[in-house]
Amino acid sequence: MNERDWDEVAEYFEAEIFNVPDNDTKGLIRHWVQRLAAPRGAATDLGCGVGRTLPMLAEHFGTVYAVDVSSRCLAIAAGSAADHSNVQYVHADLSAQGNAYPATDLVLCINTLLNASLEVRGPLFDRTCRSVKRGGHLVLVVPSLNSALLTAYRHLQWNLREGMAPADAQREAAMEGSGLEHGIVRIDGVPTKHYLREELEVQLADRHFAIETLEKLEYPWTTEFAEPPDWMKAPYPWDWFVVARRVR
Amino acid sequence: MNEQDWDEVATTFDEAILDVTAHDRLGRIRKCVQRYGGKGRTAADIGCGVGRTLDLIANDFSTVFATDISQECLGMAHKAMAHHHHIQYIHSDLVQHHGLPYPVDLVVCINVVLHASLEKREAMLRHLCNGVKDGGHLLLVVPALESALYASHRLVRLNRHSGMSPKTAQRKALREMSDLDLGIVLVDGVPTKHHLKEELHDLLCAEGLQVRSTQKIEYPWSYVLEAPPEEMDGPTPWNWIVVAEKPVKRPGARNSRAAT
Repeated sequence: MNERDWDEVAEYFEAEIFNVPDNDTKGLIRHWVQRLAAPRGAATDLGCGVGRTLPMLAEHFGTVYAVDVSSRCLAIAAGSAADHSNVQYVHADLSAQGNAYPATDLVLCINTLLNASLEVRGPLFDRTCRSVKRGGHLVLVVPSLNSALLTAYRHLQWNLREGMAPADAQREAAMEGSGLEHGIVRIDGVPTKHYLREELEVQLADRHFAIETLEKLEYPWTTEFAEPPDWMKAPYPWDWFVVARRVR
Repeated sequence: MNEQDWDEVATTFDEAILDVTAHDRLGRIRKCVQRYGGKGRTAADIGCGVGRTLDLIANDFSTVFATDISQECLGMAHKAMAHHHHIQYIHSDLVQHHGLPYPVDLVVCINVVLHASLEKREAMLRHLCNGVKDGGHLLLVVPALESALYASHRLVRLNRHSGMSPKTAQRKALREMSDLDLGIVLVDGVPTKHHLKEELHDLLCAEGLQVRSTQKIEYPWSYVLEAPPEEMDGPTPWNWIVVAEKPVKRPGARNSRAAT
């Protein structure tokens, strides 16, 4: 999705875009933001969208940079975080430009590194990592490929329980499109990068980050199926939640 | 693969089939066998092949059953383990039944539940779990779907480092995969089921077992990539090794509930 797409989404953001912080039932994001808080330091919300996490960051850091590709999203974010005078808004396309804001102590990046194109995603990942000061932390949330495959497995199970023949059940549960071996899964028809745990470990080590935690940020099955059956319980779908420190 | 296929593989088994036990550098299989072994204890190696794990099991269990679909493989296992007189060899297809005369304390099953067919795989898993006695354990090793996907990622990265464009790097890293979303990966042209960690837990739980541990058995890159660079670092590819327990049924539990 490009700037225009995100501008168009801005008005319907709450309805269209999954709200990760609201569904973070264990409070992982809040816990780590509090733990890494630096009242005299600076934080960046990379791909801040309509600013769902800006008040949380603004309460724990002296300065917050709210960065997004969509000027409309930024305008909505500025409205909703109007009580916080320590937030600076930066209109920037991370995939196309150099960083137009300084490296900070903490960079929060929630479901931003999603581009299906490796050409776009590689530099985006680089710039995200360079946005963190040496010794600072990256707090990253990305879709899990493991979880997407678990969802396909659950879908198959559901079909079987409904009495479908195994061949039909498998065909009906098949995921759309190609690119799965590279972690590309279609969400509402949009090819979206999903990550493996080990892939994240390698990507971050390559960029000189030491992982402090890499765990599941779990959601209910209602995030994957409109009306999941009662038997569909744990393991639940999840995004990967990573906190990593820039070592050099 | 059917009985005839496995009979044909028997003579070249060591070259053709990955030796999981030999690659278990951290001794996860050995530790599990030792933990649940002891005098008077019974074990089974289901799908024992040419008997690579039998020596390990036979040292810690009083009675050992070695089952396999291939008569040829069983013959070779028998010959290799001639010094162990407490191993009984049983020709049996796990899709049909576990082949054991009675459930045992420990069932070991290494890279056997590989069938691409869901029906056959479900039957295999059910029979495996039926072969474990109440209070006994299952040691299951299976290919990891996460590992197969991760190997693709590393291959793209390797191609990028050698100067390929992102598109070319990805195209060259395309592996033969059919029904990948269902965990089916082609291994030497054979559709082979690979499991997710969470999927394994769910399947074993559905058979009434409780998962005690899930760990990785890691292999060198040379098993999944052609001529990987010597300095290629970890994480390395892996199989899942799961240890699950069949809970002891409490006698009279149903009756006492009925009485209240």
